[in-house]
Amino acid sequence: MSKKTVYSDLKIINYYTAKIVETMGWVMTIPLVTALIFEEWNTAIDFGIGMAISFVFGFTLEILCRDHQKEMDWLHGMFIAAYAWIILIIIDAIPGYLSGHYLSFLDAVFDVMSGFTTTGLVLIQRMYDLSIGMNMWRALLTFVGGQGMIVLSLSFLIGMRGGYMMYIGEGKSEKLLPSFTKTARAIWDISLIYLAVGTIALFIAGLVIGLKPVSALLNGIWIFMSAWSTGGFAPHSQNILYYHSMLYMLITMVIFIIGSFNFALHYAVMNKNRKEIYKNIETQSFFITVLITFTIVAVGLVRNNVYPNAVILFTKGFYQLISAHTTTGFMNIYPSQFGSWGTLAMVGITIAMLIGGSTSSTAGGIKGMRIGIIAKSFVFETKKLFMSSKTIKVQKFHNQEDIDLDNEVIKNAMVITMMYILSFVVGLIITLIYKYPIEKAAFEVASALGNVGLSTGITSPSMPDVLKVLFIILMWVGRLEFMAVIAFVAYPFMGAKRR
Amino acid sequence: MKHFVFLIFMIFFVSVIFAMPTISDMINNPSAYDGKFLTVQGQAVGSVMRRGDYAWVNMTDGTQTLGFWMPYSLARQIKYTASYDFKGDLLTVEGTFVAMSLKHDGDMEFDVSKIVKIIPGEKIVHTIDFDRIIFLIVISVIAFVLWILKKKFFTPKI
Repeated sequence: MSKKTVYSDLKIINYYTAKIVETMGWVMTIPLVTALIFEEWNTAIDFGIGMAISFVFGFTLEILCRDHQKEMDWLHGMFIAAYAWIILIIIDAIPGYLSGHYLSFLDAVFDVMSGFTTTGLVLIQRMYDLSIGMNMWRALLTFVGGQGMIVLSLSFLIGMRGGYMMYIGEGKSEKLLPSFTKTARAIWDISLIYLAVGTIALFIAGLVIGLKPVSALLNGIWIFMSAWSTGGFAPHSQNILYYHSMLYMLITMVIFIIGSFNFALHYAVMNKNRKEIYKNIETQSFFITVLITFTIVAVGLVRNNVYPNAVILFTKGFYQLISAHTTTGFMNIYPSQFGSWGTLAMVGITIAMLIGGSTSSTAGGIKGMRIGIIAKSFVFETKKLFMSSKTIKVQKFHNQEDIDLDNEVIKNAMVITMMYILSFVVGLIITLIYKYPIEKAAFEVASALGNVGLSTGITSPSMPDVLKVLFIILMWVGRLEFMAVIAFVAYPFMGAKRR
Repeated sequence: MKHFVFLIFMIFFVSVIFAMPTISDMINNPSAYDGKFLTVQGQAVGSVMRRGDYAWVNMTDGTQTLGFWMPYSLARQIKYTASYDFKGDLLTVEGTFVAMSLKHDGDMEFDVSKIVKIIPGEKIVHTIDFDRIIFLIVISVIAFVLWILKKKFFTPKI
């Protein structure tokens, strides 16, 4: 590996990473101002420190790497996406750690990764006396993480070269508009429109269920951000159970289902192309897999006689299933209650978590597109056995446009799916070493890898540090969909050989 | 005699404490407590959410939190709920633990019939950490200097 090439690569990688870290530093002004408004002086100081460290880190790297090369290639973009996330979870964990709500810095890092990846697993303690500023930050972590920190940076850094590679590296693929800066802005515009509508709906619901106006507004903003980003963070340790309200639950369910759909689908619908909703392979795949997995869950719950009537079974079982499938992780039961669900229902939820939401959405998992492609190709291959070669037509699937279901498309879907399954198996084996029951371990690993956030109780501040690190890695690879992480890991061995 | 009274008091105190399940006990083992009339202690957190003549009050034992359903006339006695600024009232309540409430969509809850005791909460005074302020000032100055250097001398020409 040529030293010059490595040096040149490091400069361009660190230069753009610095820009992303600085962007997130600016995002900290929101919780800082919130803390000042509510006279939470210590919280304001913590965010001031977090911002200042972000800027010192960013400006130093910018100065050191000012003479970076101008052309960015795929490897740079992919590497930056993975590397920037690692730097960000460390720097952005500082305010949380300073708040005194974490047992260790690792726990604070865990929660930031959980927020950025919109997972929702938490190690925070004593949420009941968490400051308003800190709650705002936690909601922002999921909101910004769902859209993508790189998407956010791209929105501001007009003309930033190589943006497309970073955008892909962060697990997004749709190009809504000709330029990626415009695409990044369109993603933010869509999210901000929904933010306004969703917050108003939750604010009104909050007033109806007995929250005071300020509390209703804050809870509305935070729960919207978390639901839309399919994040699962809530400002209360009981999660959605805190509100004791079917109305609140239903509104969150609508928000996180919409949030789990592809941004390109939202863009199409906003441009009056409503047919896309039922023509799109991902929405078709979503409804079919929801039906199948809910049937599994319902049969499991009925067999175990968990709930006394169909209404409660639907309220608990369906909400948890949809929360799992969209990779949100909101819970309307306590983690310990999963213990009474039985193996079959747990398998149903685990499958739903692994399938996940749509590509180019805020959701995690293998994604509906890939499941749809694999299912379609499986059906086609089976049909081919009974057809003459003359009658065989090229298969297509619909995602904004009709696309040929060729071998390359199928291969890509299979590769990512196999990587998910492989990561799941490795994660499960490591978790089993710590002697957790297999169905609980499988559930928790699927939840971390699929960026879901449902928990059977394994995730807690007292869990072994090795598992905390394992879950951080699983959340990271699950969110970035492997390619960026592979580039990050493989670079020291193969990086400069490409030249 | 004094020692004897103290011993009796301690036995009584310990037996009361051990007879009183914690909120975590009920959440982790709901079937053991389902339908039982119990005395429970917890700190009120979040908001008192009024629903007609009743209200939801969420209470924590420091580890887990459970919803307590009580007449609003009882909930009105709560002055402080735990938040960043306040330590919540510490309530000792009597009532029935319900593992799966049919009237509340299957939620686990505690139906309160009586508030036995309230130890009032209080405002929390957050002392400002001056070491952190000094650190903030120093690191902000460094960030500002770096920003000036970057703008004046090191902005790349694109």
